[in-house]
Amino acid sequence: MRRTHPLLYLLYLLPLLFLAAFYFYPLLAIFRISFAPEGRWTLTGIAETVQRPLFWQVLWFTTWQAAASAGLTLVAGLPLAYIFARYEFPGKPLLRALTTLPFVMPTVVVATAFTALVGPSGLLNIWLQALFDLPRPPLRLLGTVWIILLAHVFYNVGVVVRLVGSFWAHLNPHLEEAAAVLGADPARRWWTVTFPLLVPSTVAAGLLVFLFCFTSFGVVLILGGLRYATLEVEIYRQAVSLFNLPVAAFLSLVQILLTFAIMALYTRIQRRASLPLEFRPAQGVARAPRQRGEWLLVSGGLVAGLAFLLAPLLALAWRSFTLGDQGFTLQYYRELAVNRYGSAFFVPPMTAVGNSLLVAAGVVVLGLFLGTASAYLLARPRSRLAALLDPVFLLPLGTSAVTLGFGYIVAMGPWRASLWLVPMAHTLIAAPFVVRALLPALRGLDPRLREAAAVLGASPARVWWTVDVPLLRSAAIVAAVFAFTISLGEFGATLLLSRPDFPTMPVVIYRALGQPGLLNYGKALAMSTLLMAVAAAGIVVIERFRLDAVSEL
Amino acid sequence: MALLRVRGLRKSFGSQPVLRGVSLDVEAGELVCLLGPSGCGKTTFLRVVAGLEEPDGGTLHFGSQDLAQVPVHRRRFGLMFQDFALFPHLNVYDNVAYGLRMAGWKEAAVRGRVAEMLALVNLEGYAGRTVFELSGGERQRVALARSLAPSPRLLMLDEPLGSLDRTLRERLMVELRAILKEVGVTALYVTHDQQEAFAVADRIAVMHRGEFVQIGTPEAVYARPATPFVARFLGLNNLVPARVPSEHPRQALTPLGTFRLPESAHPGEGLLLIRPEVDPEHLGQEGEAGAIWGRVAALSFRGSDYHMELEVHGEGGQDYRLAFILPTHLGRRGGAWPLQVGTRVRLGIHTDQLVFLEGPTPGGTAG
Repeated sequence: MRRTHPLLYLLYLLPLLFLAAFYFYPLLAIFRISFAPEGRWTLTGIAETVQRPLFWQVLWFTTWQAAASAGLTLVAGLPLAYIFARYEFPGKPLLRALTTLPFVMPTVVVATAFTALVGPSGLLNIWLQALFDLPRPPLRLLGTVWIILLAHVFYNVGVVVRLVGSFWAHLNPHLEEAAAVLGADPARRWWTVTFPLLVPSTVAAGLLVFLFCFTSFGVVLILGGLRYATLEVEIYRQAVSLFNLPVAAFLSLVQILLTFAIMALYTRIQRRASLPLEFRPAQGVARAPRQRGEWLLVSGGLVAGLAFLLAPLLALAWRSFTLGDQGFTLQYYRELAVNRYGSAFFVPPMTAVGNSLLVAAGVVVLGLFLGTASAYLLARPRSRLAALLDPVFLLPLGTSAVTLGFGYIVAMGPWRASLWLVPMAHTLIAAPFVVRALLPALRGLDPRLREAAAVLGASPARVWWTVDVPLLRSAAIVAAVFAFTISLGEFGATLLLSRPDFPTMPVVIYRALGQPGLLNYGKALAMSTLLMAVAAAGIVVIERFRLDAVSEL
Repeated sequence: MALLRVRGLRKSFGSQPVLRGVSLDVEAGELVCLLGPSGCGKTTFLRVVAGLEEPDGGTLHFGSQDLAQVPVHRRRFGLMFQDFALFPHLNVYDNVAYGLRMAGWKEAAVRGRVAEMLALVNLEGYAGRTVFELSGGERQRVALARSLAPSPRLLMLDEPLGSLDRTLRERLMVELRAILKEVGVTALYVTHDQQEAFAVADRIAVMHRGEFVQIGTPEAVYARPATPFVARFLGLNNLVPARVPSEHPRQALTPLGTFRLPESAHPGEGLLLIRPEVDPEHLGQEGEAGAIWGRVAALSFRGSDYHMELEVHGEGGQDYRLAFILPTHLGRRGGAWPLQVGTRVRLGIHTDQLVFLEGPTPGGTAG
């Protein structure tokens, strides 16, 4: 038995302390405000909220739009998942990475991109007006539920392609062939073999999409206008616009309970969705399309999917250079450096870029440090503590950003305006991703390598430096990029926590969108395009260094 | 007329030809083994016959039916996959019942047939088990029961014992033949293991690079391999370059000396196959076909026999290493085991040990 150095226990303690201070304590504060708004335990506040029709309207809208989004995402994503699972075609890795691109896009960017595509002065409307000589924009989607659903589908198609697609790719094609030889025609093969086998992974993917859409904030806030509010948006309105803290707290509580229920369901189904090794094919089963029908299916599906996934982003970039009547212009990018209002609270937008990068850098450092410590703690073999803590480290994933931000506001007292709260919130939100990126690499590290190094004369510190560090390098890069892009795009918590004089890029975009005039909209487009470029660079790095084993999420 | 008639079947994957115009007849109730190394095209042959792959050319007939226009699910054939491909979401009962339901059987009839099939493969009482609760051997039997349940007109088995371990395989190959013969099904059986093919088949079709190189009964194929490839594939590696002179068609001239052939051969260049089984009587004697002189280079005890490698000096300075099998009782009979590594020995060769394989001789066997 090797003893663990006492200093290491201290290291293990740090992530737990962080979690206690920046996760459990704020949630506790929400709980307290909800049940004891004035220091005394009372249920009257809650009873009042529950009796208001608004509460039920919000709950109903949140649920049905999430369900509709999940359903539509499955409809759009399953054919793509099939194509990626069963066919080999040129550029496949790149195209697969592209399907994930929306998923790493900050919500503000996606929302802005959809205004640039189908908004009143969006690309599609301009084209349609020019084409049919229409006086007014024919597509009036902004402020309707349709644009919300569309954005949600855009966001989550990649999730379905990844989750269901990888399961499908591992499904033994002999099963379908066995059914065929036993007399099943193609339709019955699908209904009696393929479909039942895909159900668990499809349900799991659908549930995950449901969860993401259930806690959707930026998309609904920006695209839905005043008519539509999810729980998340309502928490924000109650807390910030109406300063009705007990109601916001109760809504947060409802949100937490529901998301945890969905998460629990998801983990149970997810476990069932993994196929035992012996039912997987020995070799890869994807092959090039052979007949004409297959070629049509593959190319048609890919073109349609790509058009849908790239159109909003391309429209965003295009409009950021062409908004207004002066043709191609860099005006909106130049404007980013100008402080139009000269007010003490409104900094030139360009400083937000610096702020965002600064915060993101901090999050990377802090996140990697705490994430590595957590991963080492969780990767300890045969540790009951590790088994117990594993789900605890995933909890922040099920807690919405706005709830978290709100929790900080009510919990942090005098520090609620501290500049430090934003990076702390980002670190907490990124932590599950960082830990999940590191954990498989760490678990896969053969302990005999360390023993071999020790036998060869390396001290514990040098063992770590010469064995662990080089082998964990690519996982650490993936983790760092996750932390960086998550921080850069984080909107919900930041909107609540950021000080007016220290805004990040998403916050500036949101402000610019809220102000009238072409110039402000142009600035939002320009800033969103910058943010999009950084996020896209992030996914490239992740794809480059991602080991297959890393995708535990 | 044969039940299954395959003529000139061709299939390529991309530019890679996998079947180069192969023909095969299978009689009703016959059990034919396709034997060959991995990648020789035997599985593709099976898949084309099953209808899972489209042939590029050639014809397939079953009885009087042309199979070209019959899709896989209407052929009423059975196919057992190497990985068994049991449906993981169905239990044993529903797996076996699958084909019956597709054929539209009434549920009561299904119940009876499934019970009958499970009894046939000795799995009574397993109906309610999930696939995960079965051992490898049990899975193999469920897969067999599932393939046999709808009474296929032709059963194909793709390496049905390939994913099982050696001892289990040896037990099951005998059992498998017994079951197939009991049912009386016509079967095509793919394997790369010659022992399995010998144990199971009525006839063996040896496949090499997309062609059948020899078709015959197991005994005939083993006794008279048609080509050096077949000989080597069956583990007969004592091949020596040889020439049969036209004036003495029953003689083979080799670097190891001249040997008398069991019968007249076609004169020309070729390889002489010397079978490894040594009659103990011939150790140290002159055989009726000739003899070889050599030094024992390696000797290993295998239980019932010894494997001996003999290093033989050939004309022209090349050394040949030949492998022989000597029964262990040889030592008991003479008191002490007569051979050791380094011993020089004369080995008499019998005519029934020799097969002359015509054709150009790339290399032969050396060292």
